[in-house]
Amino acid sequence: MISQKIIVPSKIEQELFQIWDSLAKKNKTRASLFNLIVYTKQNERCDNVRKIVQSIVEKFPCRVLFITHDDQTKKNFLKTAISVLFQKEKDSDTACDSIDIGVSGSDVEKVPYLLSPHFLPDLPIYLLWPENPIESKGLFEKLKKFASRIIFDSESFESVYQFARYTLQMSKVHPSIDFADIQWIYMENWKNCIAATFYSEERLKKLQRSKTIEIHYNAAHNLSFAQNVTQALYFQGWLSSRLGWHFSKGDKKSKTLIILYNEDTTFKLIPNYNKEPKDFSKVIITTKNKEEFHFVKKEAKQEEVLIKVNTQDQCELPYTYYMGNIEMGSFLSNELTYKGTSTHFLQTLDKLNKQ
Amino acid sequence: MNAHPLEEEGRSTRSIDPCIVVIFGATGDLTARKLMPAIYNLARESLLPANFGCVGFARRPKSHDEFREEMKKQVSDHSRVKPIEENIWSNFHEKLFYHQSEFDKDEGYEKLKGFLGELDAKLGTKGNRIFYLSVQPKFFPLIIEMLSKHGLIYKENENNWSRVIIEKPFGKDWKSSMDLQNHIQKFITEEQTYRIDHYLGKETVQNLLVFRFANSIFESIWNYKHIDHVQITVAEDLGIGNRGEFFEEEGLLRDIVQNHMMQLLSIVAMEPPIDLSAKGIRDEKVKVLQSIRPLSKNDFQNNLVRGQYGKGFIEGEQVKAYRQEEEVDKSSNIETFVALKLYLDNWRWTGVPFYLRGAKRLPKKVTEIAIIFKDAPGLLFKHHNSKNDPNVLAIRIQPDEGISMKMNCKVPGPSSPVQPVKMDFRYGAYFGKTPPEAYERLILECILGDSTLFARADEVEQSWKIFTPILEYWSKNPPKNFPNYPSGSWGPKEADDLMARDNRNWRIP
Repeated sequence: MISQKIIVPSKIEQELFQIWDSLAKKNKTRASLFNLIVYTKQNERCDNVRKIVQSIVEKFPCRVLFITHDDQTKKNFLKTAISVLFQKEKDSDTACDSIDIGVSGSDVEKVPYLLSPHFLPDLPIYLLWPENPIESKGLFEKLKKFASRIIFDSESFESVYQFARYTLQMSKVHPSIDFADIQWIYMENWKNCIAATFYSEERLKKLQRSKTIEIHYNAAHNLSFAQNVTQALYFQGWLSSRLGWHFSKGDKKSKTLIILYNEDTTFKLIPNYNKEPKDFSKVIITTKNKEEFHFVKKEAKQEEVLIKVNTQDQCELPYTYYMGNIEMGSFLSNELTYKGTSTHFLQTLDKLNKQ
Repeated sequence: MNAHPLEEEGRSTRSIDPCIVVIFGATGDLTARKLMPAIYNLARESLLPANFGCVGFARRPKSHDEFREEMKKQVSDHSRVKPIEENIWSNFHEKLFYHQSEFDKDEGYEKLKGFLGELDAKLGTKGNRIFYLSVQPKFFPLIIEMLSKHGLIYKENENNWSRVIIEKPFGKDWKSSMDLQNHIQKFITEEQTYRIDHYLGKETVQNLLVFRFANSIFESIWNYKHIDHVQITVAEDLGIGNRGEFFEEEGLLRDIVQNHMMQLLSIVAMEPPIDLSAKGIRDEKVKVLQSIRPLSKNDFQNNLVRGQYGKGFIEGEQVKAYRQEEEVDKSSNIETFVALKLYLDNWRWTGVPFYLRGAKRLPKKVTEIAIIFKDAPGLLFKHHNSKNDPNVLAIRIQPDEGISMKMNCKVPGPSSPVQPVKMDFRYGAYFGKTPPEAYERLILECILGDSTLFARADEVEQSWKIFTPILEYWSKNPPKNFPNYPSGSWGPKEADDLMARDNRNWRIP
């Protein structure tokens, strides 16, 4: 990244032009596939959001319009800066630009007016909003009307249930906007792992006959993640919606959430407070025929899952499923930017909304 | 077929059948440079099935571990993403195996059958097989027959499937390709046969379909009314390297023109398919090949040029002539340059010449399709009393993949001189410089059972129908002036003359 240069708003394009003029002599190409508006509060999660933006830029250059809102002070404050973001790929000669806006107090009302002239024409506008939009309603509503895609972070909501209600309502009111959730995207590897294991009709029938499904989720908190049960709730919601199970009741025993479907299939969401957040350490599926499917993350290699399948007649040799690093690959970027609203996502939200 | 309830169409969650890929010719150059790096990168991108194995089949004795070590080195050297990721490799290498046998020994196939059975039990690969024939073409019929004889290939059924990937060249001419086809179809069906042309796996070739059929502005001008002519260039700056023996048998027409260039021409000229299925696309491509006007004797003399490189300079370094290359006859008449003019007798392309130029030892490596549009009517803006440059849409397949458009523009100032300028879209600028290798895509498509990016029997047959008469004419009329172009030039004078007769020039891509 070319270090941030603080400038007055009226000079943004002019200063960017000068930077690009000098970079052109170094054969750097300016490229943008879309406009990406990012809004975050000035807090400890801000760095994590910047990492997500960088991972998007790595795959798809775009114009980043990054708003950092300091809502802890009532003092009016508006500062703009520009920078150039490079792809880390070796020898890459592509770069894109970032316009950063730091704002507080009532100056936040100026932000939409400040941003509008800087949207690159003819390119879609995506909104990455990892804060609760209900809390920052005024700004969100004004920017939402430009967006063709909105990416939330359900962590910022009071609960995933509140998020489900809100997003389902939004998707009904704004059918032309695509919606996504960072937490849903992070769960992709586990969904793939389960889908790959139960690929065949025979295996799928076994999954349909599940008696208990234990999800051991990582529950330690860090600065960026606080509601670690979100992904576990998503996982059970996804599986039950895909397999057509009907919610019977939910309960909590000690720290374990127990969710019953079809009166005889039980999900147990078991927290593990010693594990880093944002993942599961293991999933154990036991069928009514006492077949067991164990999916255990390897301690030393967190991107690998050891899968053991035991039936009444035989124990298959354990094998490894390689999950890959979702943040490194193109998957995160694709999901955040190109794919339409996931049907599975909406169906899972619907399931959660009914619980 | 109903979608799997746990996967969502258009997203990455795809249930890929478990399988074992058996590579015949596992100690060969293609396996080392392309196939193994491709399979490793599929693993790196989490695109392989969870239950997967890969068995190298070759004649040299070797242990599993020796094979794994060799492949690790090759992947380290040739993978598009470097360095090799140790954690991925350590998982991947457990799925790599080696099987030593001669191609013609029953015992070797019987042992292979037993070994694959063991792997099925160990890896959960369910009896699904891909046999990749990366061997000399003379072994294709033998291996397929042996695989069938020993029950290693079988028709797709509810429980498992087996498929065969066949490297090019598929035959040496129309008759030999038909003989090969007639032989293999006794043992495998067309649905099981995946004839590889790695050009079809290139992202930019696939983008041609998107470019043509997802942008409404081009389709309306993509015809004889607006297009003056089309030039397709496949140029290599390299010579034949250590492929002397192979090239003496094949020549450039068989190596590049009959397959790669015909695929490019088919996609550029095809009608919109009814859908994106393998059948939909391949039906339209075959129609293009069927519409190519057969070359007459007059065409052989005036619209067809062959050449062979002499010594010359590439990037300032002196390089030797073709006849001085290893394993090449000192008086060889094999062509390393081909230029020809073709016409498509169909509604869309009537009267539009397609100029094809493929060669070794040209000044640079470039594959490009150039659409040259007709002149604007009248001469409102004269440029040095001559007409303006035509608009050119150039589609660069490799390297520096992208699309550029040449148009005319006013030079600032009180007079109105016209200057051609170029609008350039560079694929790498938007989507990164390391797109998946063609072989990655093709192997994955075969695992998924999608044959869209593979050549169908009738495509191959039709292409040979066009080029076999040329081969026959050349064999009866040996060249008198070989070598006829210096290395590092754009080819023999006769190729320029071919264009000059039509008042046109070759582009310098």
